Amino acid sequence: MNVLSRNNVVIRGDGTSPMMFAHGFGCDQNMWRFITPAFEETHQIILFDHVGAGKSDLSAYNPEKYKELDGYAQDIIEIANELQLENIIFVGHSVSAMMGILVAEQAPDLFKTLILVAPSPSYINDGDYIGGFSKNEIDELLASLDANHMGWSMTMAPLIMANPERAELGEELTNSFCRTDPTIAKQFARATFLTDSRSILDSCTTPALILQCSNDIIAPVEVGEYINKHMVNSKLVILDASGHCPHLSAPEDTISAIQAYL
Amino acid sequence: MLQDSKNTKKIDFENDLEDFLEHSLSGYVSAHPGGEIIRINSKLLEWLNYTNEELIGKRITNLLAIGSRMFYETHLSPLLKLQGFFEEVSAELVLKDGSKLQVLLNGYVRNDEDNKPLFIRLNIYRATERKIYEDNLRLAITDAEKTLMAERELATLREQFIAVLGHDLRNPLGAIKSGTSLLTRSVTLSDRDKSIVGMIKNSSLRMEELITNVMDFARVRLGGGLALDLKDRLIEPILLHVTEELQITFPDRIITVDFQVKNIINCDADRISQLLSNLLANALTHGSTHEPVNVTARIEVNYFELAVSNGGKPIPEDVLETLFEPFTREASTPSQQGLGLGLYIAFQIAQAHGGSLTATSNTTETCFTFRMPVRITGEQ
Repeated sequence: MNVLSRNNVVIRGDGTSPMMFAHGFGCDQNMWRFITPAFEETHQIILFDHVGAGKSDLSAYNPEKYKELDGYAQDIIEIANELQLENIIFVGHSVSAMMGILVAEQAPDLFKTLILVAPSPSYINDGDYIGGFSKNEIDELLASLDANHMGWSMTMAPLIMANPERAELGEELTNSFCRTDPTIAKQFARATFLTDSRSILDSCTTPALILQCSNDIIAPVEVGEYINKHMVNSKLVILDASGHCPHLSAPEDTISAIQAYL
Repeated sequence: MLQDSKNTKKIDFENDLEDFLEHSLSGYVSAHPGGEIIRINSKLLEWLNYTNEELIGKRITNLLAIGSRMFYETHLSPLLKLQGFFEEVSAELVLKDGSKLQVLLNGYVRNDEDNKPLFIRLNIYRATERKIYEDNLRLAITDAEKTLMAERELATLREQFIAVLGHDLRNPLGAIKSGTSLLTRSVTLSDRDKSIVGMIKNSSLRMEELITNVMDFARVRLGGGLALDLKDRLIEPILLHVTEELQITFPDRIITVDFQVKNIINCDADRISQLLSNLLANALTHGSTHEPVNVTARIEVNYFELAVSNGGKPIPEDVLETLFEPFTREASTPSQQGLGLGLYIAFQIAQAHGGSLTATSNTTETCFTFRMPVRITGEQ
């Protein structure tokens, strides 16, 4: 299998220092489009779609492999190896930030720097730890994924009907961004919202910038503070931004914070 | 109400869009680009059972149940930033009393002249009936999946049953066969003993055939058809071996052989042996005992043909029609041919090879002809 087409890898930029961008749950590599232009002169930009998102190869989906974040982390390692990259600046959003830490643990030489955008090692409140959600809320979320399957798939269903004789189904699709296969999204949601990655933070020595939004219901500020406390070589920057995607809602601030750190 | 005629502005309900939006059947919300609610229409307030004051300044995501809230943050909000709109998204509102309302959302971003976002606007349509319809569809899918799973489990069980049947019946039968072979060589046997041993031996061979047939029948009818193990094989020695075997079983009968096949054929040799064995056994059992059984094999330009013919009473027309269906036996003859699966399986083997098996019968002879397409790959 061709790793680069599997993950729809796109390379651009004039620089030599590699900078890899990994999108989070619910979107695709398009979500970096306001950020990457600022780095194209100085860096080699590597963009990709996780399997199940964007223009990735849906046939490469293997439920066994991708039931845990590690399956996605393996893809990141494979892309880096295929392109013979090292000393990478890895920019990961949300769940992909955690994949970045997983990769840093398994292949310590791959990443020079981690930029963790709205990361969360665990979404469920646990004693003193504030993840942002009660266990009941996460259960309700996963149940709604099952029950409200069609709602989640409204904008995406035609993709899985990848059926050459019925091409018009695909053409009806109004959204050209953030396409997600609903079945895969369901499993991805489980992997995202049920994984507790807190234990891997302490051993990660890769220099890391943590960007947290001031008003994010998915990854609240406390989560950023927790990560910062547990990673030995990290810096926390709180961006004055609403929502879970500062790279979309506050791209200038996000760029400045990354540039200042690098 | 009396009104001061100087200050009265007559409300023109027909053309008042404000009134239309406020008292529409759909919900409308305007919010800052960051998501704080600026305005919300009466219909939506009515659904939610909140007052206007309670919601102004709250976030759009506060109106959504958790699944939809996460979907909004991870998918819809990015879509608004990237393409400026989303349409026909199914979502759940959470009402003041905690219950949920199924809706459809359309959203777009209103920009100013410098293309800077001014507002996010959402149109919300009630979709409770649609939700019921979707729930029913989902239930139907779940039911269908359950049935499928049950069927699959049954199929696995069937496969296991077939395997166990084959294995467990064949092993003791093998012991009986070896025992009779050893006994045959014994010098102390009386003629009567020899005849009994011979009968046991023939019966166990017959039983082995029956087991094979039953298992094949189960595979074809209950499973996914006969699986072939195709290999390039020199066919003639295989055919000769089968005729010799049957000659030993029927020592009093004449079997004539005319084989003109020096070619290598891509086939499942065991299955072709089985086919010939079934046809030959059939001819020897049902044909006239005074006439020979003839076996011919030849290669034509693009097919291989194997024919077995015998003399005797012709097969009646109506029987001929259903000859290759399972459990077809000649009612008149005593049931020495077992279950009547031999021809059925021979036919299945022919089909699995992409070939055909046909039967003709008249007062002169009854003939079964097997033909399969071949690509000649080599000659001895």
